[in-house]
Amino acid sequence: MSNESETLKDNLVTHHKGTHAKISFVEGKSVAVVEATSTYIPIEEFKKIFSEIGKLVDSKKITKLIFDKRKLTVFHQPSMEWYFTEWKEQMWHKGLKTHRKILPDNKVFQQSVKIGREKIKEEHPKLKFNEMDIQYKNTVQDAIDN
Amino acid sequence: MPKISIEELKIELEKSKKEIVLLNSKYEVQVGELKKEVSYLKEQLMAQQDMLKMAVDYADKLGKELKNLKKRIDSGNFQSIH
Repeated sequence: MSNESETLKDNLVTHHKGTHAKISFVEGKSVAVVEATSTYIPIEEFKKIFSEIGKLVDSKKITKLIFDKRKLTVFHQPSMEWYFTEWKEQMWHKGLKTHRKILPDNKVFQQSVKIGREKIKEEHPKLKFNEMDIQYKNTVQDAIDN
Repeated sequence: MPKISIEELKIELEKSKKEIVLLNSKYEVQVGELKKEVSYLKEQLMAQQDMLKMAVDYADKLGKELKNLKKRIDSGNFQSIH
């Protein structure tokens, strides 16, 4: 399920459409949404997408990022490591401290995310992401509102 | 068969050469895209394999912990924290 089928109270403005993901921002709010549009995002594309979000964080002063992973079926630990240890750290210093995630309805994927995150936490206990407000939500609207 | 002058032949030859160059570059682009797609698929399969291994390892770990817990309960050496 993608957020296209959801009815949103807020207006999402498309900022960038990549081959594997789409970036939008919420009109009138400092919230950005990145939506996976394929079952897997290669690490090279993943880094491109998040560098594009970095630009949006600068220009729109984004403080909350919603990562809609519902289309994904494969979890890639090296991408997650880069995302947590490099990208999120840089963004923390720019004011992006709130992260909302929407996971696919796939137990193996969900469990892998959990294990992967714990692994990164164990290996990097001093990183800022341990202090970030990270929550899992079921819908984009819920993620925008809470 | 109509007669073709050398000049006309030269023009035809030039056209054909240009077409070959164009086809070649199109082919190169298509091969490049295909290679990229194959490398993405390879990366995806490896990631899928790693993800499943991670889940299996975790299930094994849980299985061992359950076994140990059962042993402790069976031996009577178990104290509930509640």
